[in-house]
Amino acid sequence: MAKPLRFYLAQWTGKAVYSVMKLLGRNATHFPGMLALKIDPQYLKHVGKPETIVCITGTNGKTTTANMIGDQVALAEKTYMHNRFGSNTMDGIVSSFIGFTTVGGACPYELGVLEIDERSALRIFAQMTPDYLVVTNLFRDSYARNAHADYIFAILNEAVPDGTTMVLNYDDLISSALKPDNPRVGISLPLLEGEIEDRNSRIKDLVNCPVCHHELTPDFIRYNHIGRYHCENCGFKSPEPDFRVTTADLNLRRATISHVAKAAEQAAGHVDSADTVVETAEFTLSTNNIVDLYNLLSATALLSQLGISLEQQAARSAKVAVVASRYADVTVGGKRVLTVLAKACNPIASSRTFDFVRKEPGTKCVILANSELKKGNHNLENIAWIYDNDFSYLNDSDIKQIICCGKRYLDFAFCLALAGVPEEKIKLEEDFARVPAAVNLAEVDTVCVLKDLDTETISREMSAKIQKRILEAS
Amino acid sequence: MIIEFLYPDQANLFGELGDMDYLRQLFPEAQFVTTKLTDTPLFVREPVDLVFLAPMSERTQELVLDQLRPHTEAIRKAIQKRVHFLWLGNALEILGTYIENDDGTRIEGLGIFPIHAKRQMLKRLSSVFLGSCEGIEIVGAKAQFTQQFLDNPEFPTFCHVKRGLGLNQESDREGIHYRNFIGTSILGPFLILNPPFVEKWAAALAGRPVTLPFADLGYQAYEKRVKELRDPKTTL
Repeated sequence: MAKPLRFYLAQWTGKAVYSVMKLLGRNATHFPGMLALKIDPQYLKHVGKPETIVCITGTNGKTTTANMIGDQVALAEKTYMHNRFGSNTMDGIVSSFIGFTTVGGACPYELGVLEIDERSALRIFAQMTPDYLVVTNLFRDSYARNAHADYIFAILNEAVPDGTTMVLNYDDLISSALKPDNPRVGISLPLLEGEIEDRNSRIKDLVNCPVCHHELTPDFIRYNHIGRYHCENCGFKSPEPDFRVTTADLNLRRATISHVAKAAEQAAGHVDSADTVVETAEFTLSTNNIVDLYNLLSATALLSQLGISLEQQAARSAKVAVVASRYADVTVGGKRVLTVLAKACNPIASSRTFDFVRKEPGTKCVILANSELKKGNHNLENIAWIYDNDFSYLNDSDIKQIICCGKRYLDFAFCLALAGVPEEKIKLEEDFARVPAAVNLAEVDTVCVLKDLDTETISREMSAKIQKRILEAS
Repeated sequence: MIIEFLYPDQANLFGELGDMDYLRQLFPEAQFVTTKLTDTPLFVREPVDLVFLAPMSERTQELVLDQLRPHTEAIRKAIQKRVHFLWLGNALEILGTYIENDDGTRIEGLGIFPIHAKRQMLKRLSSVFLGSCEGIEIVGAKAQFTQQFLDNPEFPTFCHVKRGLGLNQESDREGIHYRNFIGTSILGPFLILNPPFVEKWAAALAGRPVTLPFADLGYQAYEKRVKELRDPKTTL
């Protein structure tokens, strides 16, 4: 397809700005794309594409899943373009293409691995058709912007082109209903040996049957609405997966993943009906967090579609790490300092982190550092999300101290009190700089710093100061 | 005292589970009834003291409309009898005359209040909110796809807008307050964020003064927020 002149103007301008920004040490993840789109609003339609486009979206886990896919693709020695270091909106995707394509707009890569913001899907997919779309899950998120899960579902259902192969989480009855006529591959993570169900999550974004609206009966619930269900009124049930975890030991960081043949494939004679497992392999996990096991499972299912066998993936899995911006685990002076992402404005992500830290061994101090000290006078938040967190997870006998800091420290403290956390455990310290000194090190084995992406730097500094205090005391 | 939470498993989008917890701790002696979407509401069958309904998705809003439509007269009577209602977010729109979709089609409301709503599903309106209600400052936030318009401009509203979005982008009034029915799009969670309002409202509901749970923390947070919102440099 011949490209219009305005595309070349956009590409050259974008590349020039991209280069200058890189020389200045800037990320160039947003502005070059914004500029290029002003010149050619159809830039994404006109630019050259990789041979295969994989997009990853969903409320939680899309960055980790995209990184896992990218790492495995690189280890398989395939060339790929990505937006790993940049924005996942239209401007960000265009900036990535500007960075990875030639001056003439050609894209010399086998694969594109692109994380997509759910709301931006309408604009992006209007100009670019992904071959595969991984949807990790859909939950409520950012109330001011994303409204609710129904709304994001409707956007994605409208935006995703017919024909795109969907890689879906069949333990999430919301996202698994996307694009019902598209080709699809599903994953599921059955209840693990020794795993305790959580049927009492505060938020459940789906409780009723999507067909008849009667209350669903759970087969099991892992957290929130994630689990498997059936409807006793109309017979609806969770779909059967193509890929599932067969065994896992999170403490040993091992999991066996199987590709399972469905009845239809068996009936068609593609597989031996006596053996429903097509392929199975044992993976090394980079964390002991169950949500990362879902991310791994989604990545595995997608990579399998690209022709990378489970065995090949498993052999390389030890080299795939969750990036430090999400998770860091340091032991100094006999104590652990755990820094974990607990995304602000996203009560599900934060609550998952609360659940994760409460299950970590030993006594703990939890620092709620996922609300900034100050954003000037700029209003950026609807604080309702704070009150949707499962603060009851932190009402645990092994959690000895909870420090509320940042701009919304009083709201955090109110929620903890409402959840029954004894007031003597709650420490108020609005100023981040004063938090390290407030940690009662003598009482705890582990200090858990729960951060937001916006509190990355301040949390890292806080963690370093806490580590220094531990070393000085040891 | 009987407090009915209507459809709390689905109508709970913006922190209102916090308000429900707060009410349970505010009135520990009360009987709390939770009504599911496929159930008949208790208040149409027997007297209750408070009917609480929180925001829901647009799809759920339409299902709720279908569920409540056969009970329109019972709702009207309960409001006339001065039963307390607190309907938050888009719950109020159910009782209006109609909800207009982006394409101009209309969903008929229960027609109890002279108010209608217009949806713009690709234009989400968000703001922080500062208002006043009978001398009490009200704080919160707004995040909605609809704007609301009074069919009768004289109809009593809930509060006066000082900063943020009112019934619509042109209005300096917010919500509906008729007898003991309060409907407001102010999010919060509305009750937790507004302890001075709750002290007055809950006392009227209980017929006696009330002691707020965690009042010190609640008032500290409220005063901090009022100060932020009064500051003209705080953007909306």
